[in-house]
Amino acid sequence: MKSFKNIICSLSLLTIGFLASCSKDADPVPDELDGLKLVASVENGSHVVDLYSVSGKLATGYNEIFFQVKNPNGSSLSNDTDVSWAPTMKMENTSHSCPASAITPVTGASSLFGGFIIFPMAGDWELSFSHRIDGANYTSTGKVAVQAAPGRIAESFQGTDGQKYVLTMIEPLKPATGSNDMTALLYRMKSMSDFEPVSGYTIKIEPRMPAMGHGSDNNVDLTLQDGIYKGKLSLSMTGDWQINLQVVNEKGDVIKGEPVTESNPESSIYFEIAF
Amino acid sequence: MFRSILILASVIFYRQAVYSQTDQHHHSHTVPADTFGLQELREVVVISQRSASDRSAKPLASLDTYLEKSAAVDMIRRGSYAWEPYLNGMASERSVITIDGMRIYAACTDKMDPVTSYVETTNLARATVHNGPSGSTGGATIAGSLDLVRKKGTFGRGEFNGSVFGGFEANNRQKTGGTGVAYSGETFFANADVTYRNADNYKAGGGTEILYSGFKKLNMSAIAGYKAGEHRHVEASLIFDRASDVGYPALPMDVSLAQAYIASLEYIHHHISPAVSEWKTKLYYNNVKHVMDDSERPAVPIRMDMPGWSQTWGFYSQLKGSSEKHDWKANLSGHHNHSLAEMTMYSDTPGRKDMYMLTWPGVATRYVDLFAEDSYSFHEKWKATTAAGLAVHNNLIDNITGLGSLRIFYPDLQKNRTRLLKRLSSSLIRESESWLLSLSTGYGERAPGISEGYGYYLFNSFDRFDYIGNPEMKNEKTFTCGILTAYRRARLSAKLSGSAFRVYDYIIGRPDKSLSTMTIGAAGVKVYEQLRHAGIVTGALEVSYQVDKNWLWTSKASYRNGKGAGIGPLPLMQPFGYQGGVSFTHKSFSADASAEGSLKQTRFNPEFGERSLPAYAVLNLSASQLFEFGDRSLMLKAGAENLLDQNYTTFADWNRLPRMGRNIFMNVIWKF
Repeated sequence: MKSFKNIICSLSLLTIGFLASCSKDADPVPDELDGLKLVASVENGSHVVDLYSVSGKLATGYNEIFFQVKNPNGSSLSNDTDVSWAPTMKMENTSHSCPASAITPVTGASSLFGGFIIFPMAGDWELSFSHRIDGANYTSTGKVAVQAAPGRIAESFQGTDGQKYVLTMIEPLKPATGSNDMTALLYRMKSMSDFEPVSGYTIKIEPRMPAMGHGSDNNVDLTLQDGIYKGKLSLSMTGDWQINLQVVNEKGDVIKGEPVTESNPESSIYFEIAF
Repeated sequence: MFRSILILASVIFYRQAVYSQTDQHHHSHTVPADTFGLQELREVVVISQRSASDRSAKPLASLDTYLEKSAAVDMIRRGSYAWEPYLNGMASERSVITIDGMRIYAACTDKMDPVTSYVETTNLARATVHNGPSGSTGGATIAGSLDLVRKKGTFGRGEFNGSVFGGFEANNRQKTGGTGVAYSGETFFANADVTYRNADNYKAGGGTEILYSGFKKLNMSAIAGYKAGEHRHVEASLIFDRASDVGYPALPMDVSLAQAYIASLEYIHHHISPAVSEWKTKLYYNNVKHVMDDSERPAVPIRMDMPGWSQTWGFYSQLKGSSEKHDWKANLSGHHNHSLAEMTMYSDTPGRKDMYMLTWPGVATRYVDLFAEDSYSFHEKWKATTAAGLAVHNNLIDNITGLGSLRIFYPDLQKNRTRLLKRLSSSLIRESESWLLSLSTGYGERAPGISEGYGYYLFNSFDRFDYIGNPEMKNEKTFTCGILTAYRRARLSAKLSGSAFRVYDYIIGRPDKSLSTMTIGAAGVKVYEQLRHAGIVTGALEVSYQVDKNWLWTSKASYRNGKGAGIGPLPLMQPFGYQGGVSFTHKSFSADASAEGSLKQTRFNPEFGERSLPAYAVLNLSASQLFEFGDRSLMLKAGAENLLDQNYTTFADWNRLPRMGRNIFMNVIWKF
């Protein structure tokens, strides 16, 4: 468990660069895969890419993904190799991608790579990995099943500015009664296969409990801090919560979402939390 | 104000007040006492008489009914059962209520189980009221203290006696039954009693049935003493009380169970030295469980239940002594309480989770108190009493979820909070053959109660607001002064008392428009805040006149007025009220006719759900006959309350719940 914490810590530090402090006296990792479960394997005839996550599954929304690349001789590719990945959802006449981080080596590990992918929808996604060894390019492609998360935690929408966005919630991972740290990532879709992080926006939150029709107090809207949108989410009791959202651009215009009023019980975009 | 009380009271007849009498006075009430007792200085509600001279209107009445007769106490009524005692017009947080000196914390967040609801009149001898922050060993208080004194035996010559009693009330078909036995031996005594009550819904004046107003209550109590030496003995005591299926028609929820175990062990040592007359030390423990639920209500916005638990252990050790002109008392006490209450709302949508929260976030209260009192008789007729107390009060939130919940509102909330609570009072008493005069003044402080400090979305169905506690409040403080004068001569006795409280940092819930409600249908959220100051004035006059050997007339009038800075009238304040009656006694027969009523309530506060109330008056009749067979006796008492079947409601009725209509009752007590 400790080593897993180190992995998460290092990964987050490197990929998103928002978690400020890791324990400085981290122990050496005895097993790089400690605390991880195999999700799927993707191969290209010579190499096999083994995908891991904490739960052993992939789901809609934000996913931390780890992988190792196995050489034909069975050894693992060193994680200082340049590797890239591309998730694609192929539909009848069209295909599109989704936001994905750069790939980075997991600190303290020699063969484990890490990164995150935000899947806006469930289904079979095609995931391809490319690496270059000794001047030769290798690409492994395979299908991975992405399950629907138990609640809505990612929203894809077109803003009033005509742009398409993907908004996903990362925290709270373990929601608790009280004030929770809330984090989210917002991406703008530049093309069907290219997403860029959006900065300078505000994500307004309005939590409601649909069963009761009440909200909560002293929430703090999410603003960008250290590359991630951060705020405070008050959950006054356990149960099913709906976090109504409004995305506000740097000019203060609401580009998506509506306030909750008596005639409008929910915003057109929201996250769901149940605990 | 007092003048108006006098004028009005003088024209109103009222019933002899049972509460300002001691046992001795009772047995000889037709003979004017030649001196005044301490009882005149306090309010003493005599509860368990059941003797030949029993003058109580209804011997098997509930404790609430007995206490309601006291001029110092108002009983806020949310149903037929477990009324909340307001001392001097102030809510129960402002007073200390003890059972034989034991601290008990109610387990209900909605004040549905005041301490007084866990005992029975069968267990009790009397209730003693100390007005104001003075003279109270119970602990830091603003309004005063109310000690419920248990009935217990004495060492004797191997006597055994007992009683069996039963009662029936026609209005709500209330059946009361029970028995009590007592043994008094040379080195051992024991009392035990059982009382059971079972009531259906009652009918208001005019015959309207008040749904959800029935209840069941079983109370068992035992007390035993063992003489360890000539001047030393130990006492062990246990009370078990279990109320079930208790309806609260003024509230949106009922109570499926309210249960308490109250246990104590006491060591008493008399005649320690010429200067020290008594030393007693008690250890006690009590455990209260209270389950609010709405399973009897057919239509609710959402099903929920709200159980609460409270455990207290504590001790006190008290020395009493006297020297030539001094009578003194020193008391060290302490207790530890843990209170927790939760709320679960059941989802009616498949797949949706139930909703859960802590309404009392697991609060431990640790309290240590040192109190001393000296009474100095510096002149034949004059006496000066001084009392001082110092307490350390600590609250600890020990539940992580509870702490997290409150941090939504108070992000920097610390788990621990310690306070120092001081009290000081003095009084000057002049006593002559027929006059008693007492002037008193005092200062006291209290810590916020658990709901006031830590309550979490507690719905008040009167003003329809959700209440949030405020753990950052200062101590509430009061300066009081009181006057009491009593006159007793030949056939006339009269007592006039009044007190004024100036309360600083008065704790009360105020609306916070920035917060959103939790309860479905709530009007808003109130957060406990502190008013700069508030003032409460109370006054009472009691007059009785023994017309001749057979006829006695009694009357009583009382009034309270409360005002808070910036909010106007304080809620639940008694308007001018009166009682008057005439009784006829001949040998072992007696009959009473009494009227009680109130003037129109014109001072009310809509912010707390109140509205104006019309005046009312009700008429009661009763008659009793005692049959004696040597050592045994049978008492029969029958009567009619609210004879004219008035439909009325008083300032003390939560949500203006109508009171009971005509009620014919019958009490039978067999003593052997």
